[in-house]
Amino acid sequence: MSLVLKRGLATIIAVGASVAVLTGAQAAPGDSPNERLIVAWQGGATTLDPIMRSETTTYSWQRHIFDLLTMPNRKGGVDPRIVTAWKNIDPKTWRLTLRSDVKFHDGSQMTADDVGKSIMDAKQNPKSQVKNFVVNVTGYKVVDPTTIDVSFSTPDPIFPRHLDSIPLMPEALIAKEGREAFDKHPIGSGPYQFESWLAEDHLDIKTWDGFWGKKPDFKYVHLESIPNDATRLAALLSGQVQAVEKVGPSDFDRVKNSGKTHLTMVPGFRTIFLALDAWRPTGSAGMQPNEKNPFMDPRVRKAVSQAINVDLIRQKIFNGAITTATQFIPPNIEGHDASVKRFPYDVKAAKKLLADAGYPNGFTVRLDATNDRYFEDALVAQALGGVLKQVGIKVQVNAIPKAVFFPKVNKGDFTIYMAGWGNIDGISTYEAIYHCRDLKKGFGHVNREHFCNAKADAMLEKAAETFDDAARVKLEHQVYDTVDRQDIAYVPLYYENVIAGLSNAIQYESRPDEMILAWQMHKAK
Amino acid sequence: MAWFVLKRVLQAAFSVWVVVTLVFVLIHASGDPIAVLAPEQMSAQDRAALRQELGLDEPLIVQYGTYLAGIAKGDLGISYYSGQPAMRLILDRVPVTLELVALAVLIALIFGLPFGILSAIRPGTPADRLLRAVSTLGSSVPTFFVGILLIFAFSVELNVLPASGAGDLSHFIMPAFTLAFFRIALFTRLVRSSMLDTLSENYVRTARAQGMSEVTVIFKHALRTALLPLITVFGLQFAQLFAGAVITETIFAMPGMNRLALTSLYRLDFPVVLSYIVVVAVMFSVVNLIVDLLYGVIDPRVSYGA
Repeated sequence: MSLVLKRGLATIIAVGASVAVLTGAQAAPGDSPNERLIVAWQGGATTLDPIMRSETTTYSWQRHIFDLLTMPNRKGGVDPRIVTAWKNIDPKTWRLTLRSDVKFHDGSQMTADDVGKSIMDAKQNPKSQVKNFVVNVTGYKVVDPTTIDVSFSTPDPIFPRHLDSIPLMPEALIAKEGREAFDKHPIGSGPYQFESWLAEDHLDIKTWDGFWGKKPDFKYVHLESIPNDATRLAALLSGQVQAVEKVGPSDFDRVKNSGKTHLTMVPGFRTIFLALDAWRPTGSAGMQPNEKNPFMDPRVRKAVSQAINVDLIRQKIFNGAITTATQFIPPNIEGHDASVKRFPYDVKAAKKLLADAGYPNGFTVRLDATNDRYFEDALVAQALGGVLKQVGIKVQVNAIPKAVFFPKVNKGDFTIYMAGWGNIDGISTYEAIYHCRDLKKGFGHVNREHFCNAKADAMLEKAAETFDDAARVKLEHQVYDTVDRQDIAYVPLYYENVIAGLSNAIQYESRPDEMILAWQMHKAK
Repeated sequence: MAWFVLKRVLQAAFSVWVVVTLVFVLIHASGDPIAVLAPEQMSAQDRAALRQELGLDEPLIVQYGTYLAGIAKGDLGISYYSGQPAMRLILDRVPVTLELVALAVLIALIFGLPFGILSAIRPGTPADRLLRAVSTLGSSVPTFFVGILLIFAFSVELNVLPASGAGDLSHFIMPAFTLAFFRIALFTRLVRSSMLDTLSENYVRTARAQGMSEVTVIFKHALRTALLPLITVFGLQFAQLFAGAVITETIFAMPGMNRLALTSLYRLDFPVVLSYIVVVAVMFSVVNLIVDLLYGVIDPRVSYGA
């Protein structure tokens, strides 16, 4: 072998070996399978700063380290967590009662100030992506070590509901050590403490003895990202990981029939809907120039709603794994009305409605949609093109990446589009996507089709200031009956299901809020 | 020699500028980072504030100037997503990519070299034909297919190798073979044709005529010359894999820099994409420089005159 070649090989081996030493072989502590749990996501957390990114995977990972002030439950409500009780002592003040036994991972005791400052941090930090949950907060006052009063600019009856988006941060520590040190080694008060991580790849955590609540079943947890669907499934089937998110409909049978794994599925809080241009009588961007916009007529909107066979989409595209929408607000979210039914699928009725509106032969329109945002979004858009053709509406489907789609529809460059909305409660959904557009007041920023019903808005604003739960829900039902059933502002299609694949050694149920929490996973008995 | 190296550095700087400009134009023409970054509930004012915070409200030409000035100062900005210095995010992931690629070219060499020599010294035999058939197959099967196939064979069915991640060496075996597959074929064919050429040279005939053993003729006389083209290709393949292991990194969920660059490109995280390009450009330039210098070491006829 020539000298050059030998040297070359030696260099490569040396590089390889040193790199292997640098990167690898962090032998996992307690590698006994009983102590260690591995959960695989499609993506990974981009940051561990608990208020900087409001995106499902990122906050899901963070919520193992950082506790929340209240905890979202599976019924769309909240359970006490750090904040154990709440009471409005006047319309603009909420009194929060706090746990007295909460410690941070550095051993320091949580103070009432930490809670108050966590709320203010969420509101004031320029990088905060959870501002909208505390937008009306003006300040707080410590009453005693386990009580604070939070004050508001306007009455905010659903504030406790929104505390489930506010993480508890060790504000005294952050002030002392600086945000940067905190970002490098995050200190929270959750059931797990930080060990090591690589952004968007993995996070290693272990249980923390000082946690106030019940100790999780698994001592060591490794959260990781496996972007490729086939690899993620293979990792589950081979037993390399114990839980995976986002199992595709075509893989359901493999997971169910492997003998070692199973599926857990629940209707989620995300509504997939069609939005219809409601403000341009002519010149709508998805029609011919100067052509009349048919969607100004509620009969056409109703026709679209009745022409779509969502159950067929559910069977053919999702292998049953979506929930047909009866209304915009999904079950278990405040504002959902169990007595409301979907307009029935009826091609004949839809054709008649179109004829009555002056379109006996239908019309041609462009449908904009994403192809990388929602579960099987491009396929659904194609299918909608097919079903609408049956009633004479010829659809040109334009499915594009989200980075192009959202700026485009935000500019009004559409006539109809398909998108999704993650619901938190009926009021915030309404204010964002139904309310007459007034960006200065923070209303209707996602109401891209400029739907506007001032009477419904007034009713909603009344609901938003009603502290009595039953009275508020009743008002919300009235509002949604008006805008969904009479005006047909949107055509809701379905609620996405939240699907996870699990090893049979694990007991867990998917959460409708799309989080996956390792500390809620149990060893199967 | 110094002038030669300086010229090379200037050339590299020029290529980086061209690529950075292209990527800047493409990214800003293809969408709005805020649309992907901001949560759907975020209000219009908060969006505007975020845009300002990230400097995305400035006119494009100003943003472009800021980026160029940043590169000159060695500051490639902060990732829109993680809030971390973009260059650090990429550098954190260089070791995994480097290890993967080093292993892959090593495997390709270990198999490709003997295969090629064997093919060349026994042309036309069944062994030669078999190796040629295999190498044709190797260069025509797509990477993702090889990867998925390996995962289903060795992770799901046999359950001997992990399907994802980058912990110990076992995590690197399948991805490295996936990457090496095509290169084994490439090296085999390259060594074969280069050996065949050399073996018909006069000096090889002379060596044989002098009564040297066939082993001495092949390994001492023919191989050294036949390897010259391999060094070039080897260097290029190393650099190319370094910047092209994206499919393999994604399939095997390895925390390599290519995977991060692709994700960042999808969500228009320009600072990260930019850092990636700079790293790749530097790598390419270094490898090319080394190859050129090596040539001079092996072949004294090569000169570096200005």
